[in-house]
Amino acid sequence: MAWWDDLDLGVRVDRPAEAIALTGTPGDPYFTIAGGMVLLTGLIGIVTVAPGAAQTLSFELSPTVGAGADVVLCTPTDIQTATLGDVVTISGDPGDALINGHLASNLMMEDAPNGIALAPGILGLVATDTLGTMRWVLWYKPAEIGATVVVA
Amino acid sequence: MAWWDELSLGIKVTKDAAAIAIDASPGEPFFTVAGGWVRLTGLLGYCTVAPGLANTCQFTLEPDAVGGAITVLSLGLDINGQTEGDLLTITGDPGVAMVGGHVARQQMMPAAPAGVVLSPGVIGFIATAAEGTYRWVLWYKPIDDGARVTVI
Repeated sequence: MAWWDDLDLGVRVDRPAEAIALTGTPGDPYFTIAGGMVLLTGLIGIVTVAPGAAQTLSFELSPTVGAGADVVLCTPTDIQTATLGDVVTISGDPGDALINGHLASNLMMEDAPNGIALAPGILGLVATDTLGTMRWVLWYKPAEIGATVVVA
Repeated sequence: MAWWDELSLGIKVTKDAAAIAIDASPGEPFFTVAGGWVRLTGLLGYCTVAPGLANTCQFTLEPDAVGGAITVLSLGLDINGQTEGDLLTITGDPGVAMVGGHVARQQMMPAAPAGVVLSPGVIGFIATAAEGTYRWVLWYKPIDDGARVTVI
């Protein structure tokens, strides 16, 4: 990896706006981690079309290794009140709900300022409905040579 | 030290996958801290072979200074539940057990986001059984000029 991959929040990966799909665990594949462990340093979603009704979201990691267990990055939360331009994110504590509300600002990874270590696998978005459209930005730092995150 | 040693989590040191050996305190020597104080900013293990049986593990520091006391970096944790691809780490609080479980994600040093200060010595790994194989990544920042951490 290049030394600049470790600057600030690390490498940025953008996922363009798209309608949320109703998907159970381990979620709609959003990002792929490959080549080794990474440190997830940020994950934000920006609402481009309001859900308008109940829509509960959470993120999960489905490890590539066959014996791996799906694990949550946050607990589910209803983003119904979010409207155009509002921001959702995670605290970094897997026991906390996805942070949202009718808010255009949110703290970044307040419970994991040094990031969350992730093994190779798929980061998926679990959603209980097809309501709302969002775009996403993820930041990471490679923990091992050759480790990457790309849009799934 | 170079200015770039202070970027992000600092300098990365990797230890190749190796079978865990039975070792009582101060543990099997894993890393050497030499030349001055350092700040330990991350310590992450990746399971490559599941333990399969009970194996309680923890990290210690055995100082070089004559009269120095062996101190723990974490309390012991039974890693029996881990399988290939799961991650093992410390919180940074020496009064808290290592963090493991059947999970492929872990928060990085949430209890010590600025790191854990270590005097020169040897970081050792205590294990109660010869079960499991792990590879390791350690991050640190030198406090004193010439301070460094190397794999043993």
